Amino acid sequence: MEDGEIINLYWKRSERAIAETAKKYAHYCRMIAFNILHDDSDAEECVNDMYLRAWQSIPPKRPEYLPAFLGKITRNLALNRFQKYTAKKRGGGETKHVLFELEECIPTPECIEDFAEEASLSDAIGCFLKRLPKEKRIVFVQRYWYLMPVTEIAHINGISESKAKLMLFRMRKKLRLQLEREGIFL
Amino acid sequence: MKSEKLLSAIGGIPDKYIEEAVPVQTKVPAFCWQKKMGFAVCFAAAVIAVLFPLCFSKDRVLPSQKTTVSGTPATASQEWSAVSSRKALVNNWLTISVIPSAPTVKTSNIALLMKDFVHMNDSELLHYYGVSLPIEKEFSFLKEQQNASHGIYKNTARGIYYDTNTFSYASADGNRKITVTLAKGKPPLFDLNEIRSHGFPLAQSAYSGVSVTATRCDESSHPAYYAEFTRSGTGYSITAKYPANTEDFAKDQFSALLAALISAENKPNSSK
Repeated sequence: MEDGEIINLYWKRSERAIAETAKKYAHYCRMIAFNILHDDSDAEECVNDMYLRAWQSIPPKRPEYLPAFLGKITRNLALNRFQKYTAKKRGGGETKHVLFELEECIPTPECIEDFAEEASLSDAIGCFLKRLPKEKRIVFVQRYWYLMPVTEIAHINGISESKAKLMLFRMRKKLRLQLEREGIFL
Repeated sequence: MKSEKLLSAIGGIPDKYIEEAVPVQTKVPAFCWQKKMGFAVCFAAAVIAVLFPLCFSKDRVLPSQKTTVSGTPATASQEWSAVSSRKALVNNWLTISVIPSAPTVKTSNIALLMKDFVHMNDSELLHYYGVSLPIEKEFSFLKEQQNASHGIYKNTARGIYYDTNTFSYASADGNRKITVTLAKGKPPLFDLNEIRSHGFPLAQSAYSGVSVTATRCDESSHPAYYAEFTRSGTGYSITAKYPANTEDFAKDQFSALLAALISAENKPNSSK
């Protein structure tokens, strides 16, 4: 079923909307959640929560890109769950490594109070991504949005692992410089 | 924690970048060009010198005519002439459309779970597809590059849900690179039949009953060729890159490559 037809089902409040969403995007969303949580049952719960959030959001929303819309909901749910687990000293996997890597992108010392609005930070990152060549942008998004392991990113993109790591290292440096130039402090 | 704030903010990037980066098993590997033009041109000239007379030879032998006029079996030297003539002759069957930019690789929303990956060696994989790839046999200067592991994705709930694999070949100097991407069903990478040139679909050619769409793109300094066809239930997406200024030679070789793939012996199908 086309995405437009699935969205129409949501607007008609038809229960088939969830079934069709599950048929088309369950595995995609489960992959996103699993990459963050590294636990099948937790990932499954996130996906189930995502269906509810999608049902509650559409309408009034009418997403232009349905997979990205569902993916974002799933990612946020999974990250929230990860944060709870971290507080309880549970969970692990790739997310800890990604957070460690992203420390390099923070432009100011820890002592400065954070006041950047998340929206303006997202905008700045969007501008950063816009300037990147497509290959590098895909690697960045696969690592820091999809939270995929570097070995998998290298395999999927047909590049060596060392090249992928070098690309990510350089992009983190560039992102930090950009955030500093724009005066965005975390 | 500030890195968590950054990670959360990355979640708000434009949807188009998320769509663009959806993980798919295989992508056409990036080509790394080594600038050894002198050697490449000399090599190309040497091969053209061999093939050129055969193109215009009055005694060229058609593929089906591998015997002498009297009907006796061909000798080894006549067989060689027949093979060389076949390679020189076959470029007459292929029409290559020129496109302004490289075709876009199709993206897929299939989520690939690594735990579902079943590794297969080349022999097992070709049996799965029911085809053979005689590229090293036909073009001895091309060697298979072992860049990525091959296999399929399957689980008990969905069965086999992703089976696209890419085989890469390159010359020793790296100036000629071929990739053959296979999947059961339709050609997996580009959907060349969806491209329109001035509103019309691209030309199709036929070889041994197989319909082929072939294109060339001169976007970068090195011409790149793309072709797709379906044969025996398996979709093929082929890319080939050659050194610049060797278009005639490249077209001949690309035609011969496609003919070799279409004529290749079928292997008995197996499912895993």
